[in-house]
Amino acid sequence: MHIHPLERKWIYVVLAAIGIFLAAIFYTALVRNIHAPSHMETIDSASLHLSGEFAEDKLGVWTQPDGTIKVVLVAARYGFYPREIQLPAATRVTFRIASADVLHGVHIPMTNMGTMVVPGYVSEVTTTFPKPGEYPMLCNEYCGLGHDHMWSKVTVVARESWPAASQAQPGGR
Amino acid sequence: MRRGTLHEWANFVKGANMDVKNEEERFDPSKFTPTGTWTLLCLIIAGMVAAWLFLYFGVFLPRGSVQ
Repeated sequence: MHIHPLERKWIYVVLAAIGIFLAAIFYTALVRNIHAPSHMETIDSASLHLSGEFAEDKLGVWTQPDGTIKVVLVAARYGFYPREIQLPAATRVTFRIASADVLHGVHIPMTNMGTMVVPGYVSEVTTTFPKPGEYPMLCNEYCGLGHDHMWSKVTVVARESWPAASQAQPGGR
Repeated sequence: MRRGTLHEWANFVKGANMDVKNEEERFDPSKFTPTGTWTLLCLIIAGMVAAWLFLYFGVFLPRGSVQ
């Protein structure tokens, strides 16, 4: 099959672009350990606040025996509960979030943290916050008239300050 | 302007067009090097690649892993 030289050049350009993007995907997944959240776990949204992991007294920040952090949150119109949390920088943090009513989204600007919170499912995302600072946690799925007021505050403290900070917040265990 | 019959006018037009080459004869893309187009293309591609590299290595990766 005859291919015009100019067309052949463009084929090489396109193949090179595809190769670069594939290399970026493999590098991201295999070397940097970055993956799209794909957790699948169901829960009864209507009764999650009554008992179990998402009961009111179980919400908040938990330090695991291996030093990692687990954050248990409930998303409900119009807020994330608890409304303020503190986390250590440069530490693996696993968010477990369930919706008590409708579809919500979680996004922490200036970080890679983001996921959807679908009623009936537990969303789980593991991430790290490299830099201390104050970050808003926003709902990024339209959930009703108060959607634009649905946000909470995440304060990331330096790792050295974490033990003291962990005691002074809801669920600080 | 000289006035003539329609027949004379048709002959004039026919004669005038005798030297005009057809589209392929007039412009052969394979013998033409579009230097300006290539320059513009290279500048745009270089800019997009630089922007992508900055967002990927300078913004996305430093914000930490996510799983």
